[in-house]
Amino acid sequence: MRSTMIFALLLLVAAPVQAAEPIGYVKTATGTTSVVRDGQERPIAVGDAVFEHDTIKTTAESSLGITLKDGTTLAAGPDTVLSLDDYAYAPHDQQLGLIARVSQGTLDFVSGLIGKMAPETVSVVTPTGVIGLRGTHFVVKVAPGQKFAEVTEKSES
Amino acid sequence: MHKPSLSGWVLAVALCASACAPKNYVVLLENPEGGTGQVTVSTEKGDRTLDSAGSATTINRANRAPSKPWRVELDKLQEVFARAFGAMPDRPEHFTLYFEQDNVELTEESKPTVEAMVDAVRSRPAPDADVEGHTDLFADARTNDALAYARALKVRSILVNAGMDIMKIDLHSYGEERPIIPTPDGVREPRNRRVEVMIR
Repeated sequence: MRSTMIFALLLLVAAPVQAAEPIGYVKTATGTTSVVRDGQERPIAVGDAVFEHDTIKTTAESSLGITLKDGTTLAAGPDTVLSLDDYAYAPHDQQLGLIARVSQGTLDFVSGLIGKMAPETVSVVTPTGVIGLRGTHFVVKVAPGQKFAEVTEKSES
Repeated sequence: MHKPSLSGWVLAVALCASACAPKNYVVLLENPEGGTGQVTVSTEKGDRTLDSAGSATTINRANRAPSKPWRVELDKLQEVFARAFGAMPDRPEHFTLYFEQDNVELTEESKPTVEAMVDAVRSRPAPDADVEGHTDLFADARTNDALAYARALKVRSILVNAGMDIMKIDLHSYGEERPIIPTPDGVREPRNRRVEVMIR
């Protein structure tokens, strides 16, 4: 009983953090798809909102497509882990940026307005390299079981 | 005809290991709207820019530069990315609806655009939208704030009637602040009396 109350209190305290705006919505899904949000994994389906810091997972024979607010469209193939690490889309306040991370699997990516207005703020990070773009469409495949390089920032030389 | 030398054979194997079955690679494709952009792939050891559709670079290791660009075979691409391609959402569509002077009545010319917008909503499995209301600079700024908002509300009601979830429509009202055609204050300009919509 007491622990339930403490848990409820914790939820209240945590609530403002979770009250973020959606950054996009799931538009397509097949098979088994889930999202890891605030450390909890739960199923995710067509029509569900996605938030900054979400990690999307698909299992074998599964796929998931997302459209972000700026019109970026992303499609994850089977056995894919895709994290939406950073997202800012407030064009009138000059706040733009998108950093996604593919730990494994396949991703089809078509950039939207952020890619048009501020392409230098868009990157897709993989364990072995970083993809930057100029208003564009690409796919990336990442084999499973790889660790991200400790230092992803390259020193300016 | 001479037998392939051992060194030649080893070279062939090495090439195959890096090019036939790369662990990680990036392929640039044509944009859905036409044309091809560029991607720059960077590792700890270097950068590689791809600028033609179907070109790829391998990034098997963070401590090696991305490979020289190679051409992807279309059937291979289909095989590896079939499900991702199949899951790609429809590209967003943009619509601009124009209004009569000082009210929330759509112009006659905008009616086909309304129909196209409604079709876009109905053809999508789970649409969401941005709706931005604007006015020209004819009335005073405060009146225009209210008018731009009323126009955005009007378009939102069209979208809801077309089946959209009202919670998935983001409403913005910019009053007279963001004219398409800049004019002095007090000027009537039909091209500024509009609502811009993005259907996703």
